[in-house]
Amino acid sequence: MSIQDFPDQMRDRFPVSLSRKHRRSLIAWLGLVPALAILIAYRLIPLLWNFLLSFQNMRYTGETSWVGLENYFQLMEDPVFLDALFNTFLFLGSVPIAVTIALGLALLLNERFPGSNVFRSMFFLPYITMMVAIAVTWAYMFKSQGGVINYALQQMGLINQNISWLSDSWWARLSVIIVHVWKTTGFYLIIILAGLQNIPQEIYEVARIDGASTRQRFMYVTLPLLKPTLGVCALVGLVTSFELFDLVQVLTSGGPARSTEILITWIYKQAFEFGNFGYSAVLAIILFVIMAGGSLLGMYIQSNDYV
Amino acid sequence: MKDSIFSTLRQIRLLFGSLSLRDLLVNRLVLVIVVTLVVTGSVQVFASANNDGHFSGQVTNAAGEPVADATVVIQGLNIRSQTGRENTTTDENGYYEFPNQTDLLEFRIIVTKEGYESTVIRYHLYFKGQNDQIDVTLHKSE
Amino acid sequence: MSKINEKINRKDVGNVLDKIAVHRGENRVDTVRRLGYFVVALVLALLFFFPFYWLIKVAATWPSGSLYAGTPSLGLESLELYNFIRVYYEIPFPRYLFNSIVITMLAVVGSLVTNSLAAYSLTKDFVGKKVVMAFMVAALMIPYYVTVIPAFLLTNELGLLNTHLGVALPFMTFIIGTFILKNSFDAIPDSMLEAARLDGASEIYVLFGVMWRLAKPALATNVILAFIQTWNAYLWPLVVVSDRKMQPLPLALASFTTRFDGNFALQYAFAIMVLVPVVIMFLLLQKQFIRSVVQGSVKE
Repeated sequence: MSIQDFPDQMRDRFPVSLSRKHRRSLIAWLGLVPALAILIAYRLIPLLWNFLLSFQNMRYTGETSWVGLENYFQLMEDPVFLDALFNTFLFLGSVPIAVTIALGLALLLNERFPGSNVFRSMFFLPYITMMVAIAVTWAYMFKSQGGVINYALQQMGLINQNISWLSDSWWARLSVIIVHVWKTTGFYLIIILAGLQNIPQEIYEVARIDGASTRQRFMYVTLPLLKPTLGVCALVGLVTSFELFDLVQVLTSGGPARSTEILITWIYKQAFEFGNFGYSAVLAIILFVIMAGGSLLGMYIQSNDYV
Repeated sequence: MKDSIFSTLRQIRLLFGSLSLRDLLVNRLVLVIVVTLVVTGSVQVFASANNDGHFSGQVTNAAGEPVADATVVIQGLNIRSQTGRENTTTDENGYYEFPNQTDLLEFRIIVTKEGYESTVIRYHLYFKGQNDQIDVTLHKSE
Repeated sequence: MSKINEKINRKDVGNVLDKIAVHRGENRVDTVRRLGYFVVALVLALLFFFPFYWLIKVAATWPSGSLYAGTPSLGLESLELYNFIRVYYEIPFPRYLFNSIVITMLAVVGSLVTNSLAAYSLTKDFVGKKVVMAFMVAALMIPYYVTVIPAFLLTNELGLLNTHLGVALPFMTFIIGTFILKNSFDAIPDSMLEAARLDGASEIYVLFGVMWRLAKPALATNVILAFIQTWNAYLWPLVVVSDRKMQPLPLALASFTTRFDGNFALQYAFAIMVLVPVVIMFLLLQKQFIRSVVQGSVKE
């Protein structure tokens, strides 16, 4: 009865027999435990907690008090909320712009001339860089007096006076869109390139033999065959909006007089600058509804195959 | 169950057995890290050998002759502020020196003497307290 | 070569182009067209890359007084590396770099292990598999910033505020990585696994010894996606970390920008110091990077 026999003893004392399938299930569930734990803790529970929080009022000390629908009523009295909602949708409009530019670039780079791989990497590089650093870079470029963009525009004779990029509400929105388009074009470019390369060359041969012009080949062969790829771009475009928080916060910090606030920056400010955790939970719920709706729409577009 | 514990240990040894030391050491990532560490280390060594903070130079006039008794003022520049000024005068050969400037990184040197235009030079070192020198040329004032 | 002193005329150009074209196996028109594409792409790429050129130029200019004048100059002049040294002395850059590295390593290693375990489980057929898969697909639709505020409260409860683990924990699993690994594991023929099991391998060895060796590209994808996500993360660390010393690089850069507002050369120098690791990694592993990002978005 030494310590070496202890494991055998344990097995004799507590005989456990599971069927093959049950043993497999047990092992499978064991393997899922870490992933599911983190997912439940950081996705499911916070989502449900949002609902709870939206009916409460929380102070910095952590005390919560039940206030019913008061936070929801605050929605209607909040002037920034409509602006934030509008901006959230407006900045989603950078996705079609970037996809169109990426489509043109992909058609060009698909011709496989020497060096097209280098160009592909050059266009892709902004996507993996830190949005904070990119925002810092563009912030100085957009400066009204002494910024290089105004300087270049004036040198080219396109404008007479300096554009106040970051101190006028509409120009600030445009600047956010410009930076976002610049950053994500490379990403869409490589997705569309992958999609283009999946189109077999024979189809183009057949179309050319049948007498289709270049424009007709593009409209009736390339575009329809690219539809699933463009659907992927739409879905993925939603994901790229995640980094808009960094961009808005660092570039305009919510813009001149809160005109470039998006829902997520307003949520952050309500919670951590004003301490209204309850109200920010309400905003988070609204944001979730919008994003989930957008994801479902994107999945629907993507699943429309051409087969 | 005892067997299973032993077999697990055997398997772990199998897992790591195929990882040779060479694979671990000779690859691009390790190379980059090693190069970075070596460069950083050598820069540190060089800096610590030369950071007594001894700053000096010679003041000459446009013709190349040394200017004695010129007032040389050194003022450190921080990002938003300036430190106090220290001054000294050049000796008969036009040499000046500021010892013990171990906190100096970016600064201004102002050289003045009667009959000459006062000259301001903005300068920076590569690490705090670097031993360095600037020679200044004064021009006669009109 | 004896014709060097004669003028070049159109026929000569045509001959050269023909030679190149024959060498490439096409006719002359195609070669000219390719040249045209190259030029157009070159111009577009250079224009697109301008912000990076501007970044490097401004950061390497000293003294930077000329930046505050009315007209910036586009060319390269007074190039000095002094701004980087100034930034190094102003802030504890090694500390911030260390924070970023620790958080990213935790997330990368954690996500490798967690995603592999989950993907391995998902290749089996077990009770409740449909529920789990549906849950994971549904969880894909929850963007992370909707969960930020309660996750902050949760991290507070766990006592993980201002710690590396607290920042890295939500990044230690991501569903896309699990699905990519699952697809890769599914492609491994069952006979191999059966053979390994017959030889006495435990489940752990089957996963980490056999499957990992055969699914190396998927593992690389996982590593790259986790790295990009965690290294560039701004909102979550901003929420969790309030102690200056524990800030990772994005936070350090942002607070530096507000502290030294107007000092663009220093801000740019710091931005370059922050971007250099990722750029170097990208240059070394371009193909793998691009392939990983495509795989992470196009869920076939």
